[in-house]
Amino acid sequence: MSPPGPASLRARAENLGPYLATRIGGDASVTHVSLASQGMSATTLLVDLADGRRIVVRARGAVRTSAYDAEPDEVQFHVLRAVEQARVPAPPALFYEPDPEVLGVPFLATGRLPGSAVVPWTREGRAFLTEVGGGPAGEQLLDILVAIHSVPPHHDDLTHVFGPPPGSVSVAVTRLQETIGKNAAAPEPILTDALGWLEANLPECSDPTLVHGDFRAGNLLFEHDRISGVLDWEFAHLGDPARDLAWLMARSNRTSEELACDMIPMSEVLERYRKAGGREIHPAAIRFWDVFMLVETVGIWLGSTATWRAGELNDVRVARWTYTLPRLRLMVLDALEGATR
Amino acid sequence: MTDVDPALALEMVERGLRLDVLPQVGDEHAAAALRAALTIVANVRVRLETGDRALREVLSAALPGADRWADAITAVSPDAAEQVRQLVERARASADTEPVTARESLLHAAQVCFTAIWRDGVPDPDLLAALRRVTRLDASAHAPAIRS
Repeated sequence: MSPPGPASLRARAENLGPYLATRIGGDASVTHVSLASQGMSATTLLVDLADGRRIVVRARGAVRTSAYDAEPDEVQFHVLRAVEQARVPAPPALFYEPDPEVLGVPFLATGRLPGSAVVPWTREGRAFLTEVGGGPAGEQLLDILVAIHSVPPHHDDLTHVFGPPPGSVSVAVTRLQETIGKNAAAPEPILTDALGWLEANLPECSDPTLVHGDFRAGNLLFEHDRISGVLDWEFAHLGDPARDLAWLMARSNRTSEELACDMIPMSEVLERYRKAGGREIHPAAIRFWDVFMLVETVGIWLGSTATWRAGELNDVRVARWTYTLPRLRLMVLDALEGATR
Repeated sequence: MTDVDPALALEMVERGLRLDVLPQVGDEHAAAALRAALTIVANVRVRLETGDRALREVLSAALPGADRWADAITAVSPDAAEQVRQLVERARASADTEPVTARESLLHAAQVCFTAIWRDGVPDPDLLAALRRVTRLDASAHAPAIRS
């Protein structure tokens, strides 16, 4: 069944005062609720309280993005707790509520960070990113990524949701094969080609780290010319840190040939990462993860399409995703041919 | 409405919803959903206008070369080669009358070949390039013309 829409969530959130008082104390009467964003995997609400606090409520959406057994918001809750002790500007985790009776769906509550997000694919967004990328935010970017990758993978919160770190990248490829095999409704030759190539080109990763999984400009908060927060931890996992660098440099996350995320020179990303304290990353690993993440995106779309076909989802935006799958398959093919050229 | 061509009917619906209804939709979710629906409608209209032309072009471009796919993998995957031979034959037989079925058979044959290439190590370097040309042609033909 589809989760409640934004209007229903807002109405329910307006009555959360007594519940919130038991979870976070103080005068938690709700004075105002606004919709911050509505993605496919979550709806985010800003909840203002009578004592001046503002909390961020992230309610589970219709599309499941986590490959782990735990609920995506529960994963995020534990990941946010784990990164609190590192130099990572991430929202402070308040609590995770698994009971769907409270809001209509399970949800995560966090504190609010200063700053605002930028829409990277607008002209204004691009201009801003290029400007701050040449200044303090550009200098922070890879320091923050190194800090994420430096969180101990055996941290209790990470072990709680992820179990022990994977021994090989092949685990991720196998999981991806299973997802696509389960959800493909017709022959998928491009994905079969890509999965075969991925299996034949597994990068070495004997020392897995915490990986953000969606580290790009659109998931950052900026306060003036500095990065004030890293959001959207739903793809976080233990794995190869090269994945975050590949996504930072991915074609789909930049409009310019020269600047990763329209912020810092592509040619300097790996060197800056190493100078910030990160490990040596081989360009072959970047090519691998570039292909992997596009195939993974197709896998998520195929999963959503299967959910839609099963009658468990009514969001028209998913129907549009399904309709545009051929274009995404072309992107996979472009990346694959680029990687083997 | 029975006097109206289906593509024109969709264009009327599309224009009315986009220019008349959408500006009045205040709810963010409803507006996003309506825009998504309009994108689908616009692309269905384009498909109706062009008919199966794109599909037939893919088949006529791919089928002559597809005869060689089975031969290229037969040394390392004889069972897969036989399956590919049958699928390509089925695609050829239905290309004129049922192009949608023909396309599915052709893509299935390509998928079996890719599996053979990566699993069994087919030693023909031209096969991979030939298959990718076909999958690119097919995905390009099916990519939505309108992305709004």
